[in-house]
Amino acid sequence: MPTPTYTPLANITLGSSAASVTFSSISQVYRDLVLVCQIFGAGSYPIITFNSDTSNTYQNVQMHGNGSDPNSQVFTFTGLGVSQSIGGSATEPFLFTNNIMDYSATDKHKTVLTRSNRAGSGVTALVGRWPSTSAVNTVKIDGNFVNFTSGSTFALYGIASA
Amino acid sequence: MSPLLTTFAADGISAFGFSRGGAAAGSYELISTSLVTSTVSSVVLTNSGAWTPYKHLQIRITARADTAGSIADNFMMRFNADTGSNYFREHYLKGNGSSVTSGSEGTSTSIFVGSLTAANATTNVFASNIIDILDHAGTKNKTTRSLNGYHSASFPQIKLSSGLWMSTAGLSSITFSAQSGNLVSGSRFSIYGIKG
Repeated sequence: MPTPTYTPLANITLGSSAASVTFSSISQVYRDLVLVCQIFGAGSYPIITFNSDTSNTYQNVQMHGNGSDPNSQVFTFTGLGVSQSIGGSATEPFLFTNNIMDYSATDKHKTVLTRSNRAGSGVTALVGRWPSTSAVNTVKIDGNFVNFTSGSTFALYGIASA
Repeated sequence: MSPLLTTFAADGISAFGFSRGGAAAGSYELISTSLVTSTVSSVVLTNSGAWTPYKHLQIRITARADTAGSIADNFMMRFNADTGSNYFREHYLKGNGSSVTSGSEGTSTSIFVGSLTAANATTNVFASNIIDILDHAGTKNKTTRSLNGYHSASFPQIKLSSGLWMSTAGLSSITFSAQSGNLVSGSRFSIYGIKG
């Protein structure tokens, strides 16, 4: 029998400003995680960290279009970027979806496929790598020194496998 | 079933030590997962009626090849064991960390769905791929789309691509392989159905 999945694990809507949002004690019964965020917060450049690891080891490769100058960068940072070029806005929703592939596996580094967009700024596709074989049990979305503001939403889903 | 490849139907989850996931009501369902347990030349996902209830398919993959002397290998997809020149290989948009390029390849014997990491890639790094196949049972030609990426110590890539199978047949199987090498242990192929 097929297994219904894309299972909602947690859903947060900010009622006031917050510097970060953390999903912890994530169930290990799924294969992939999908993080869907719509944020507000002028000047925020969200980064994502796993298992409280803030070391400067996260690898990022992005491809970005802003209407005139498509570009690609590779960079190492203290977290996974969701876009190097698109920042949050006070009034315009900034959307990003992260596919955290094989998050519960312990035989491979964690690869994250991300799409992000803000109509007034641009669109980005990004692949990130957390160089660890540890299973992901905590996901933190940080505003990177700028708060997320009220109305920002953060949803986490589990994708079953076998 | 190949001894080098283990395929689990969705109701086999508990055999893996996992408990079944939460009872999502919905239209997105796991159909099966194939795990590569020893090197194989290809992975075949077979319909056998399991895809019939669904309008669209999504395949989520983490995979790596053993292609000697290479950081990456092209990742190939075929339908219904068709090895004829019945595919439009790809149009793509990709970034490699320094530039964004767009390109295409025309009529070919397979679709390219991005790249796999290979023997010279950083240890434990597998490429990831999310492939959508719309209207898999329809009587029109089949267009696919893929989001693929990986970061190795060099030659990183993020890629959006689309391919075409020029056939009006419904899908009975999907075959994945590396262009030059084999698929290694730890590679994973999960297929999901989306109801319509």
